[in-house]
Amino acid sequence: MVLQGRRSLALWGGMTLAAIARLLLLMSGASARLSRSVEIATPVTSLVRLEEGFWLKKLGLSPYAGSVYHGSPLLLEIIGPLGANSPILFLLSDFATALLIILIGKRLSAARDHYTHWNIGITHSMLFLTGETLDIGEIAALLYLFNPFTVFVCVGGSTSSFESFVVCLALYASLEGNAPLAAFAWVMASHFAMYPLVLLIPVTSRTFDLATHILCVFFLKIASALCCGPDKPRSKIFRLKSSESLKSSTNVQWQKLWSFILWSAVWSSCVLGLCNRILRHDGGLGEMLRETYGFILTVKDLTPNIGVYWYFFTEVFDFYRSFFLMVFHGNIFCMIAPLSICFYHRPIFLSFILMAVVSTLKSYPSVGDAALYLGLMGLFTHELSDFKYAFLLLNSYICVAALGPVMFNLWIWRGTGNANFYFATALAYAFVQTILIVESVNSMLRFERGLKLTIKTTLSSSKKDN
Amino acid sequence: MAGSTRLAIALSALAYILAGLPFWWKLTEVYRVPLPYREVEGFVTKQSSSSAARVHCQLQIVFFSKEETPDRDAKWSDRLEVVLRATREWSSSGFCEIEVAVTLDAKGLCLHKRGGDRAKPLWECGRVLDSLHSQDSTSIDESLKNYIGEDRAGKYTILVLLDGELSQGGGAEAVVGKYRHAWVVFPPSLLGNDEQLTRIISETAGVLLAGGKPATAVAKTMPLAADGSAILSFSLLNADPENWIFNWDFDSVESQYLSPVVDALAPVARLSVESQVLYYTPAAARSQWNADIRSHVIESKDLSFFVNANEWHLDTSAAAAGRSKVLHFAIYVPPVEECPLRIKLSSGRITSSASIDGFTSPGWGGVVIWNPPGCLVADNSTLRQRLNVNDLKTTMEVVVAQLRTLFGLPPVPPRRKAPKLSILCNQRTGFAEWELDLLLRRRVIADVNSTASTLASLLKLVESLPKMVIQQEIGVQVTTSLEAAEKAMDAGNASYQVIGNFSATAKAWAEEAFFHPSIMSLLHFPKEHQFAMYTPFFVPVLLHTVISVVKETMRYARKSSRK
Repeated sequence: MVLQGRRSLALWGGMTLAAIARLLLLMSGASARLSRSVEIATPVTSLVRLEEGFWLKKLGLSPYAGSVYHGSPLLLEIIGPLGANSPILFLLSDFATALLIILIGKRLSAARDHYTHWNIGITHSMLFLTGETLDIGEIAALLYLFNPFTVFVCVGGSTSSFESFVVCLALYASLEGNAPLAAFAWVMASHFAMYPLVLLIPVTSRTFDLATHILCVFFLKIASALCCGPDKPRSKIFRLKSSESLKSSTNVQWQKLWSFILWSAVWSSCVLGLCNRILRHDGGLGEMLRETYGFILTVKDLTPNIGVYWYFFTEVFDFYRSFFLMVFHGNIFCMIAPLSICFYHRPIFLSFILMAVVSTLKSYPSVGDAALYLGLMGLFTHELSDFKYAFLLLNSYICVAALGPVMFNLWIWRGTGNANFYFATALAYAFVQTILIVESVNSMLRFERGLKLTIKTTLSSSKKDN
Repeated sequence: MAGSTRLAIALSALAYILAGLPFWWKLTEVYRVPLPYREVEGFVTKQSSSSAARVHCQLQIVFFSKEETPDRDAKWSDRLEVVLRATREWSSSGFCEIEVAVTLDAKGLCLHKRGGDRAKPLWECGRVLDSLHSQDSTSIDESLKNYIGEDRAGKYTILVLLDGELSQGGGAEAVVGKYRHAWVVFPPSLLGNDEQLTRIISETAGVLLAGGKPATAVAKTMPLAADGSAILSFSLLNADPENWIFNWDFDSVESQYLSPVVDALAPVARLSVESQVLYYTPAAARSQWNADIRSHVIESKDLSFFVNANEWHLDTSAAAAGRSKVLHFAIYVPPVEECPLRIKLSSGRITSSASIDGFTSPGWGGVVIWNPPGCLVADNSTLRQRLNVNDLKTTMEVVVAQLRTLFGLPPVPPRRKAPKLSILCNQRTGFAEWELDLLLRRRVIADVNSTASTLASLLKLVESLPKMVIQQEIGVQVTTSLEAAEKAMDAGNASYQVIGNFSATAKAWAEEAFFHPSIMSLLHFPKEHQFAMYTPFFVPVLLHTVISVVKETMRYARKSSRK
């Protein structure tokens, strides 16, 4: 009971503190300064641009006129009327995201508990650290809420906190097995930010067979969670024990996949229909796609940001531009197939990795993207317990976060630095994220290998006993 | 199966890269519009073989007499033949394909001789010419213009007036008017001297057709931009405004003196005028005091340093950027302590004592040194003056003369003693009609030549860089230019205006294609650049992918064989 009390105190106290921090920042007027920062407001997520688009719409012009606004027309209708009060919405969406992360964590722990009940020789202590005070979901939620990136993005007027919420909703709904909600959230997330499209990821097949595997490569990750349940050890491991438990554990619920696809189609047409209706007097859907997805893909705005695109595309020959646009964007999609084959059984971990990949390689990244995957990383406290370079990485994140604005100031406002100063920090940021991804994948693989070894030894010892 | 997951991961990465290959092929495809190689080659050989493109000219020489001529028909027939032959030697001058017709128009006698096209209408005999006695050259010129009638570019008339009373001092005398005709006063008493007759006629024809010089001597290009335009930029330079400051009333100067010139030159060049006043613009060359003529004198060899590139900010407008052509006219007011400033010619002669002096620099423009009147005698140290139209009359005359020089004409029409030949000036525009025709012909030739060389070098360049993108637009520009140039060459009897337009179009499009931004940016595109483009990213990625595929395949084979 004492444990339980301390636990809820930590959780609710932490949440209150996070809320107070945000409110204090909001009241101190920091948002005006933060909304100008390129690390927080990208051309796609900036709230200032959204307000401009809202005014254009109000004046009867196309919200995309003048190439200022590049977001969804739905966001205009939702956030636009709020005006100066919109940070409250972002604050709420931050807490909703945190709640969703707690719920996802609950589902993941429940799944882990479930495996231990199968009595396949894995003891509870092998899978989980013991003696903890907080559930993994709660750790992850607090990590998310207290991450300075999240706080700044929430206060600084960027729609990315809203996008994080929709992505987490999709993950949660898929874990719950709620196909319509999962489809809705996935469609909305993809509509708002395009990149959640990569959460289209492979589904496992019942038997571990290469051909089927490759066939399944282009299914949905959310669908993967939907059809196969939450993260669990590899099916092979279960097969070592007995064939009966295997059947029950890895039964793919195909009808949920079909239902997801159907619902995705329904929601997509709803969203597109709504957008078409909002933009019926202007360019319509064609203009919307050109100005949102087209803008993201062709990288028309070369304003410096923390990504790696702008520097390269100011230098590259026009002749090579389209080719390298393809290569740069292709990098993101390049990762999907290998990672999916590797982690088909861990859809949430896979989405964490893919979010990190997207955040590293997207054309207009902001620290809001990092905030989301760093929060989700808390869900894998156990699996990543032997994560190396944690100290180095933490310090690198802090260094980059501090140096980026300084270099930007030196270059743009004081004129004493130059573009290379700033781009160096952007490169360092990309490098840090890459290490984080690689090391996460490595730790997860080590964890699975360890699990397999443990099972093998317990099996052989029990055989000897027999 | 053991190891199959790892193999599948490696293979999927490789498969992704392989799937990207067709996109790579498509996206880096070099688009090269087919250029008309053979046509351009044909055009260049045609253009160079005929030494110069020819524009048609018509010259008619009319022997005019109010009375019956003393000589017989047969004699005249011979004489006309001689004249016709003599004018042939001029057919290579003035960039002209000349057709000559010689006519005797006397009382009761009308004889024609001609070379070339038979279809052209001949001189109409027997028309009455009002008496030219007691008229000066200018009014004779006007009267003859009315008498000859048809006046179009490329058609020239030499009227040989067989009238003893017109000639002063009884000798032969030729005058070239400011339109497209000349007249030769030839006393009938001298008619026996055929040599003198042909000489004076052919000299006159030479002036009328080629400005009196053989064609080769003036084959330089015009100071014009690719599209046939130029900016005349006038700067009034107050070298040292501590003592005196001059300003000018340039608007009225422009409307009074420059607009007629610009309008007259319109068929040859599109000129625009700009002006500015500058202060603190010392000359970069030093002068020396010459006590004999009480002047400061600059040696002609120092003139090349006169223009002070550091202090003279002569670019009057942003429009002058890029490939446009600016002709600078700097009106230089020397400082008090250097006034009056004169130029010592290389021959050692110091220019006249007039207050104005000047020099031109080919392709750049001209400098006029304007000494404030009476600067030696009066104390002008605190003079402020706004120069009006009358103050600048002489200066503008010098400027027009300099403009003539820049366009390759003599600054003032020369006079000749033997045979006696004078050339009338066009007081208003500074350019006679026949001079404008000559300039236009020169420009047409220069344009066609430059088109040929530009197109030839463009195609050579395109051939030498096989990885260069050639956009559709360039193909269109080359074809347009080539077509226009062919038309300008084959125009034949078309009007000068049409030919001028064709040649200008040809040159403008050829230059446009050559300096197309897409070509300019790829000019310095060595093959090594391709490596620099691809290696930093693709070599590490491909290397690792291939190595891992090989490694995993071996691992998979080893594992499956062990089973």
